[in-house]
Amino acid sequence: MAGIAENGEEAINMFKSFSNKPKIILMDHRMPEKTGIEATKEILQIDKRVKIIFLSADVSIKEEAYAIGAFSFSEKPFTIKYLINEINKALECYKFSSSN
Amino acid sequence: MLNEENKDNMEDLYEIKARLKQEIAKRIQLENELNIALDELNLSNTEYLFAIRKLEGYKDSLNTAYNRAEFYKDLCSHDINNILQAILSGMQLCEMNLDDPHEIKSIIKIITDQVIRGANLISNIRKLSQIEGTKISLKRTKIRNILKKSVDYIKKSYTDKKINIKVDSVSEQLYIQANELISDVFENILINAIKHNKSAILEIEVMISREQKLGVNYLRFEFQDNGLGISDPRKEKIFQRGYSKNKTAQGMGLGLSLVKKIIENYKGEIWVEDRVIGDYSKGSNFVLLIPEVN
Repeated sequence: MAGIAENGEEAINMFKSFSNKPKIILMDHRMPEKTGIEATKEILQIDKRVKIIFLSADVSIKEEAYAIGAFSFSEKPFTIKYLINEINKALECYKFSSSN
Repeated sequence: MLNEENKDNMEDLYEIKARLKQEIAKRIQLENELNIALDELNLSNTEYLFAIRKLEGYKDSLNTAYNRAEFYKDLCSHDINNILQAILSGMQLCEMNLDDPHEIKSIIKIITDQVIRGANLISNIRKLSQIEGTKISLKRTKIRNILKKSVDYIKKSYTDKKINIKVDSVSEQLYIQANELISDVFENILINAIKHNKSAILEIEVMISREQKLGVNYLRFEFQDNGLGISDPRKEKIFQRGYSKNKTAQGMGLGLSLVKKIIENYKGEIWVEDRVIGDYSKGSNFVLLIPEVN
């Protein structure tokens, strides 16, 4: 199950619409309608198991992202290898928390 | 005897009079000194107030300079890093797809677009600092020619899309006080109408009419499109990118905040409405009011 949303509001609606919820969300921050922080808060209220990886060039929201429950924060620019590594870590964490 | 007594009294009185005179003279001198001191104090007070006002002025300039520095810092750290991210990912994807020339070609197109985006960003920053750094000179400008050039430029830039741009003007002979940045205004609005549009045929209608507001004669430009539209909460935000503290104002990049600053420089106004009142999803209507000159 995967999808691409163009803004925070669309991401929330898309997440709600999935019967089988995705395990990982790659989240930007500065988006129209709702920001990444706002979308993350609402999505984690729907399902707190989902691992949200922030991918943003706005490092000023890093602490807030962690405080509201983001799995990790990657500051742009990053390599594809680094991103794959972050996704793998998030998947491991998801599996671990689901099995407990 | 009485005379003797009177004489003594008179002497005492003379002595008192002399002392009083001395006292009065001292007091007058004191009063003069006090007045001088008061004048000096008043002068110091005026100087003090003047200095405070000057300091307040410096504080405002300092705040503006600080906000400007923060804005440029934000542009460098956010927008440039976003562009670098796209270029870096593109390069790495090319490396992964060396045996697929078709894929490489499409990725190179993305990288090229990002380089152009970076160049446009730098150009916009330069224009912004030009507007704010100095008083730019405006001259009487025939606006229909400029608009026609902008429309032609946009049509040539997006040959891969079906675009209909119709211009309806109250007259051909319309003049405003402007400079070369007016082309940026028209082009930015037209580009937004194209970029944020998913219709099969992109319809843009430009209408120019006359309007009087508070005794000032304006030219009213309306750019109506059949694009995605702008929801009410975003209608003001899209112009706010800049020195505002609202970093989350994503807007449509630096473009519209630049447009707003240019229009304000012409003593005009800009805002956005729904093309179909009450239904933003039917497209936008960008309205410009610019003072008309004869």
